[in-house]
Amino acid sequence: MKSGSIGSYALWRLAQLVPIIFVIVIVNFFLIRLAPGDPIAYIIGDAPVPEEQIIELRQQLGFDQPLYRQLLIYLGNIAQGDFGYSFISRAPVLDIIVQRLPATLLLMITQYVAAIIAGIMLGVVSARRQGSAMDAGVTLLSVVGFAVPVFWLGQMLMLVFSTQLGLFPAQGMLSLRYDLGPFGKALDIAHHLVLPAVTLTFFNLGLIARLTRSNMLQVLRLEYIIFARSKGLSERTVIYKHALRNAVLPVVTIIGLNLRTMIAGAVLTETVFAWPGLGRLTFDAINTRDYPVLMAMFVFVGFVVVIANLLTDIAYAYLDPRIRYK
Amino acid sequence: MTEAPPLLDVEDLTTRFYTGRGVIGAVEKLTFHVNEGEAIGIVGESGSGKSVSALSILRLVPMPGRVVGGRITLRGIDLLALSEREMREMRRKHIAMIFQDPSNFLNPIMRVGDQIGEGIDRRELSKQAVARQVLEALQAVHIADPKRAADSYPLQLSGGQQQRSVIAAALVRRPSLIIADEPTTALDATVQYQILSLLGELQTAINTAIILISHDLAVIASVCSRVYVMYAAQLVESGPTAAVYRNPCHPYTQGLLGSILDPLERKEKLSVMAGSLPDLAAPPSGCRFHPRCPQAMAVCVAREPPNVQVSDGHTAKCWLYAARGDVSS
Amino acid sequence: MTEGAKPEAVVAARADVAAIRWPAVRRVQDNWRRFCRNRLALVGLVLLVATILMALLATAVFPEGPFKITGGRLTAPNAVHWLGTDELGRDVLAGVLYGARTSLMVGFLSVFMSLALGIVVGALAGYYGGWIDDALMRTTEIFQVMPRFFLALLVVAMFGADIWGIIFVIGILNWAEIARLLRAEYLTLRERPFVTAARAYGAPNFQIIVVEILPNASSPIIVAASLQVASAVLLEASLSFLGVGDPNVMSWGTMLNSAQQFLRLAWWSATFPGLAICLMTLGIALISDGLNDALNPRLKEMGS
Repeated sequence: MKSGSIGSYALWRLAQLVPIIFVIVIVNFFLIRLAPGDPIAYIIGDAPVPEEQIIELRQQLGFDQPLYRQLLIYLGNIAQGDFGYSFISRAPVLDIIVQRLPATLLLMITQYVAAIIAGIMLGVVSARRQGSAMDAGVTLLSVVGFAVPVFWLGQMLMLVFSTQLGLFPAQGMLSLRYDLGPFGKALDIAHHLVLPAVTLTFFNLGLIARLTRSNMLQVLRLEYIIFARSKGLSERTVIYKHALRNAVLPVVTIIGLNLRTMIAGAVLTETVFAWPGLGRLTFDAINTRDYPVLMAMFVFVGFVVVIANLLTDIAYAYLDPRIRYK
Repeated sequence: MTEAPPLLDVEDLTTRFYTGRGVIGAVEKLTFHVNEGEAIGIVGESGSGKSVSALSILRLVPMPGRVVGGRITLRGIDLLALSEREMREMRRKHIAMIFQDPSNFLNPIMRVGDQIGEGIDRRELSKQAVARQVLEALQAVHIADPKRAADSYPLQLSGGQQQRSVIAAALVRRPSLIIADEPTTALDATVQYQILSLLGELQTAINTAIILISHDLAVIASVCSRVYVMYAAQLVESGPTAAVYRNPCHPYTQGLLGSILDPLERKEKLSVMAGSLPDLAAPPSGCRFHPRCPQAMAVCVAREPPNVQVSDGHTAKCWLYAARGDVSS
Repeated sequence: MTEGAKPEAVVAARADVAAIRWPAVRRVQDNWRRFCRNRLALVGLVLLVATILMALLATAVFPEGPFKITGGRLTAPNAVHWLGTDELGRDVLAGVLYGARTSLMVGFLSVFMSLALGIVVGALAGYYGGWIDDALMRTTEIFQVMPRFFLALLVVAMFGADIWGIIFVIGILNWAEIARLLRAEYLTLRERPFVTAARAYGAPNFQIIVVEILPNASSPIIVAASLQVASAVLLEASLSFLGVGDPNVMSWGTMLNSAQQFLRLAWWSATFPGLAICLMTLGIALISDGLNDALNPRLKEMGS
């Protein structure tokens, strides 16, 4: 693989991934052991489990063995996808997570796409009209987007648009109707998707708009913009082909860093709107103290964020040759 | 003798920057002209207003600067009166600019070939035709392996190759005027010579006029037939290069030439000009050079000197010559 | 260097050091003036002061505390209960005022903790470099890599929901950012001449770290810390909203949690506590922006 290719960069970043995941998993491991009470309680809850089974479970998980042995067993389990069993549903946690994942994916992808498109557009416009009312509006919007608690925003939107105006359903992903064909179902889901997606988009929008704006302002002062203009290119070409491409690069990285916050936002939003995704799962698990689920979510989210950062870094390297050819 | 009308005629160009700290007069009543196919030079220290004049011609002066006075005529068309769209046509078809540090002026995330090709009018040409023109331009600037260069990103090329690419980007539009702002300053000495001879070669090949801006007198001398000397935003001397160099009239020009090291000439002491550039927000009264001028007189402090015609085509803005000869402005 | 002997150059450098120390005071005044000129920042200050007022008024206006049932359940805002009552009959206004105390406490105490930890670690890592730097930076990386929200959830759920625990957890999660910022500053500043001069006339390391470099390195952490106050408040509200807040302490988040079920019937039980959160965090965010602009002035170019 020639140096400077994306492949070698991707491999290098992939290699860095391993220790990070390792750390997350280790923390998870120690969390149970450090928490008050018998660690086994975090694994079986207060379900009436016969004594022999408890002893067997202890043996299986190695609680009677030295710590390093326990760690190995634990790591082995994780590698096989065994995250334990949910207290409530008695199903394997991994299965539950996989089952709830699509709903959350739908919500996240929708809000990211909307936030990126709207955010970049707002950022570009406010950079071009620096100092105008629009510019001040966008800056204020980004501050508000940071300050407003996302769950409260969801509640307010629900109050106004669902309770008062009756435009959108307040909760859930699907109505309880049996007469909808596949297309009708899709529309129904979309209908339910609007309020939670708008909530999350607003939460995300401010940061992207602000970042695009400040990058655009910086880039527009740079020399190669003067060069592009001196070639007689139309202003639109200069802005979109030259300036935006450069200004948008950091936004790619920010998306990766932002994911953690957006996942937290998703948990809160799904709770408000009873959207049947991983966020709502977390909320339910908290209420029932379903520790296996909670711990698995911790590892899962850590894993997802690391992968997302990896992907955004690779995307950045693809877009910016300066990184690759160092 | 009737002369053909000049290609570019600049009269009393004045450009100012309106900053939070006050108004900075970057160019003050600059008057010069370039004939078709001619190469002229603008020389001066950094901060003398040379680059801003170039940007003013193209109307690309960055904020908070603005052209506030004067006339710029290209083949009879008043550039300052054009709309933005018409000005863009001018930039695309008639005037091209080459900048000082190509690594800053080329877009780092676009391939070089694309950057050269985007200046071409694509409306009637196919993609292959455009690509062919790009390659031809790269060959004309003597880049080895033009195909590979076109596919590369700027950081993969050397400084000299980058500058050649910038020149190629100018070439490809067949402009009537090329403005080169310190094109060799950021390059190694050996490469400098190559770029300059390239410019000279192109000038004859496509009959382009060149405005060469530099602080380096040797650079100007190698390419330009006439030279304009700028100091503190004003024109202080102008004339045929040979005449100005052999017989510099303005004390500033004398100082500039005197500080050149000639390896064949043994000098006792290196003559150095005292002082530094004046603050363009609050320039000295009268003649702006008077604080540093070894021959300053009382009138120099009080009143701004006129442009005096010292000999045929050779002018100097200095009281020393106002007594004799024609006062041309 | 012989004891007590001070070469001329060092004496001159010492004057330099003094000249740098005093400007720190002058700079504070400059920064304050710049800050005050920013209208939005002043608005933020007003909002924050309003929040503090709310907290101070709590015991005065509602001496029995926010948990006392004083009215019917879910009554709309009226003359007696200006903001209405919640599902147990408690006054919403009381909740809002006492909630301000909680949020202020969580916000400032947790940031105090993260600053304490972060400054120590960052200064040591940045000043000494070498293996100390490596070791400390690995530690911060570990903290930065975790999913913070979920870790906080887990820890509070497992170890019990106590307001001090929550403050502690939030502080633990935030210190890494401060440490990194400060380390970067120290790495650059320790090469500056005023540090070399201070060493030359025999200042002990501790003095250099604290007295010489720290005031000059403080601007990025001031901005970061102010933002952390806001995010701490939001994190505590989120945790309380999800049900892992301290049940013995009135928090805006918990109010929103109980309001969730009765949203259709009682809009006031959700609107007002949330509005309070908005105002407080908005105020802090505006102040933070103002601080950023004041401490890092860029040349704002005006079109004429």
